[in-house]
Amino acid sequence: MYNVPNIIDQILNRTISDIVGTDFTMTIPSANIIEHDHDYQIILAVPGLDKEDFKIKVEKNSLIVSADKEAISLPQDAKIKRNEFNFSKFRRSFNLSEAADSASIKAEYNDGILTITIDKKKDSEEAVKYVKID
Amino acid sequence: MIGIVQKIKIYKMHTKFKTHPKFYHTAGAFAPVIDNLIHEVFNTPVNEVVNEKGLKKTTPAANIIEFENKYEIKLAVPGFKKEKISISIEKNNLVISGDNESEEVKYKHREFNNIGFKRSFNLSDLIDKSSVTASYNNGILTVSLQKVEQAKPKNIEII
Repeated sequence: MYNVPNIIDQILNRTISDIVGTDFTMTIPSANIIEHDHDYQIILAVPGLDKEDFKIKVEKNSLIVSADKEAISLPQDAKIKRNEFNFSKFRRSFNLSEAADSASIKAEYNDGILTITIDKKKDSEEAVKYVKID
Repeated sequence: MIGIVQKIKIYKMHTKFKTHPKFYHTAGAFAPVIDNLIHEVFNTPVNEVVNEKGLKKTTPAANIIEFENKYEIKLAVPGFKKEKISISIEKNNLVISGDNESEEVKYKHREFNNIGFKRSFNLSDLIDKSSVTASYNNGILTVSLQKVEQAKPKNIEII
C-alpha cells in the first residue's frame, strides 16, 4: 500500500519545485531494494555516468558503491543557470545481512540505473537447526 | 475515558431524546441518508479520489546551462526508454513527460519510482521554438534550445 510520508513528500515537492524551482542539488542517488527468494537487488538511480565510473566493493559487512568522476569542463561561454543534480562524486553504503553471499555480487548499468544483485547464501535457509530430544 | 457519572448523563440524555416523539421522527427520516453518506465516504478507496498515476508522477531534477547560441536542459530521468518520453511545445510551454508500465514489485525499501514523470518549462521569446532537439543517454535527457538570431551575442567592430 501507499507510503504516506512518500505521498506527502511528492505532493509538496511537486508543487513547490514547480512554482519556485529548487536550490537543492541532489548528489546522493536514491535506492530501491527488492528481496527475492534467492537474492537481493539494490537498484540505484544514478543517471549520467558510465559503467566504468562506478566502484563497488565489500568491506566487512557493508557494500560500498561510489563514483569519483571529474566534472565535465564547460566551455568558457557557458553559464550554469540551474543545478539540481550532480552524481559525479558520491558514496553510499549498505549493510549486508548475514544471509547475503558477498562472494556473488553482480552489477549492471542501464539507462542510468545501476542494479546490484546479491545472492542469498544457499545454506541460510538451513541455518535454523532443530534439535531432537532423546 | 468517560467517567461513570458522564456515562449516566449520556444514557439519560439518550433515553430522554429517544422518547421524545418529534426527535425520533426526524432522526428516523434522515437515518438512511446519513448512513449512505458515511458508507460512501468510508468505503471509497483513496486512489479513486486522487488519480493514482498522476500522484506517482514525479518531477525530475533539471540542470540548465546557457551557451552562447543555445540553452541546454538536462533532466535526470533514469530507467526510461526514449520511446516512452514525449516532448511538446505549446505556446511558450515546453512540456516533457514520460510513462512506464507500472510493475508489480514488492519493495523492501523504496526511495524512488520510475513510473512516470512530468515537468514543464516556460520558454522566453528569445528561443527558436522550431529548432528544439533532444537526446537520451545514460538516463539523462538533454534538450537543446537554440536562441533566435537577435538573442545571439554580436561583436561590433570599431571602425
